[in-house]
Amino acid sequence: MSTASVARSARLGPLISIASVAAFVLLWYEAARLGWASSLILPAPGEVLDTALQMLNDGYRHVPLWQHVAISLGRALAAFAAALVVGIPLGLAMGLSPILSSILDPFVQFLRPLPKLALIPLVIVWLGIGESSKIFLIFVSTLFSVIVGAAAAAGSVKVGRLRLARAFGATRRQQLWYFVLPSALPEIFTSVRLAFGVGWTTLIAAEMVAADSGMGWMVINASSYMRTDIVMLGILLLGVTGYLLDLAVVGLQRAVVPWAGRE
Amino acid sequence: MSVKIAFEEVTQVYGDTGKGGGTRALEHFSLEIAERNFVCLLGPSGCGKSTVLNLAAGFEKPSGGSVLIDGKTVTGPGRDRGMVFQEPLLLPWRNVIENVMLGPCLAGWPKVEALAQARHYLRLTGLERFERHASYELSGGMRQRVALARAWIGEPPVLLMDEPFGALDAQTRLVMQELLLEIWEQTRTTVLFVTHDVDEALFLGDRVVVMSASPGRVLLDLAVDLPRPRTEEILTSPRFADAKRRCLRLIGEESRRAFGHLEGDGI
Ligand SMILES: Nc1ncnc2c1ncn2[C@@H]1O[C@H](COP(=O)(O)OP(=O)(O)OP(=O)(O)O)[C@@H](O)[C@H]1O
Ligand SMILES: [Mg+2]
Repeated sequence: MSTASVARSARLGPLISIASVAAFVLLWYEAARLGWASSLILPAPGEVLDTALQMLNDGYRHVPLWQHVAISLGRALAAFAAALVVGIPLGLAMGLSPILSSILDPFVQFLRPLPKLALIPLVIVWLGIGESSKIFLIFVSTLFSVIVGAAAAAGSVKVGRLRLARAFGATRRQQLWYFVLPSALPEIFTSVRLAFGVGWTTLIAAEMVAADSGMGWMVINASSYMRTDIVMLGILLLGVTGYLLDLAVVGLQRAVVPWAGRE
Repeated sequence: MSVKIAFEEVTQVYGDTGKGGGTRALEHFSLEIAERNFVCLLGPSGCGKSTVLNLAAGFEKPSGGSVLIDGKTVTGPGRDRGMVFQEPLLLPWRNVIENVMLGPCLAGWPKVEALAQARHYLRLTGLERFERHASYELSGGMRQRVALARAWIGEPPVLLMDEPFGALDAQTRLVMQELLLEIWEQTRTTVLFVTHDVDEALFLGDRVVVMSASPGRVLLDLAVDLPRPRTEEILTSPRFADAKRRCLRLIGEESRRAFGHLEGDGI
């Protein structure tokens, strides 16, 4: 493609995306209207919209809709914050110290791919059924991706850059602050973005632990009453919130490491 | 004049050194560089030019022989030797002037002094209008100029340059070479400049040291008696053409002799 046509499709991009989503909703609408599936299996967009409007007024199970969103978001953000605070320094330390890496790597590699649902019974025994167990579940599923990403990022500083540091007589501490850490930043952001994605998918699992609010809980609860419209609404909310969260991280990345991918 | 940099019978072997294995990058490499001299190291790709520079910089230790600066064995990198690498290696999280101030920052200079010096070198390199620009928004030539200013700001007694203009187009390269000479005339630091371009070596150097490939040795050591200050005009002068012809003839002769020598050795 020529540069001009690339630029033109970049400008058209958002429009095409909007059109594609509109086409999908239209298809959904038509499928429901023509009765391709019963409304239990596939509620019409209108029905979901009605449910949404009604729940905006009345809430779901005595909890306002925005509060379900806020509670889930709060749990996720608390878990993410903890994962960053613990994971980034630990990952960087592992990336910089082969000994520490050898000590911790077996545990990290064992726990990272582990399905976090398997931890629910243990987490309940350890932490009970309060907020802490839900946050902990999201935390563990985010943490290991952050650790692995930060460890890889710490090792990603180029030899040339380290030579530059040594040529200027940088002390070990200066090498770390002036060269290694800033070099690792872009990659840390990328891995944090992926880790948040993983953590967000754990939300439903976390809210299966004796919750009485939250988007994940709403979906599970509504499904046991065959309220497919509420399930759909919950899924939409989960998806949109997750998407906005990702956009926020990308925005932050652009602001903090504007050079990423442009060196 | 006193000897600033000396390589004495330096051998450098990479990789598995047991049983004569590994890559012999340098063998019996000897060279003395006088203070305030501009010496160009010329040779084909892979002959060990960067290795020589890395040894002088102290990034590596020689497998054999010794590398001396001011008569003292090099034990590691230091601020007394400035480096300009083949790539600019600017730090993208620092803007242009912050990149130039890198050395002073690490050395803990007073901020005012660092800033004044940085401005001085940005002016010399014609970058004063780009002080606050992001380094990743500059062209290749401008980036290399920043790298030059960054190496020069501490006014190190020795400057080591590894094909700094290798990636630039002919026009930009000429501008950079003139700029380099212009600043060098003012500071007269000792420069060891690596290149694989005969024109560049003759244009810049007081001496051109030609290396032979695998293992790297000094093939030829030529004094360049072109007058200074040198400018673009000299490139088309008969004297330059003469010097170049002589240099190429000697390189040819020496290379053939070296090859004959190797073949004779082999049998
Ligand atoms: N760190 C290293 N490990 C192993 N071999 C190396 C290393 N550095 C250099 N060599 C080898 O030593 C020889 C000389 O390399 P060097 O980089 O000094 O060449 P050069 O003259 O700078 O080449 P160029 O002009 O392509 O930059 C080459 O055969 C190279 O493969
Ligand atoms: Mg080289």
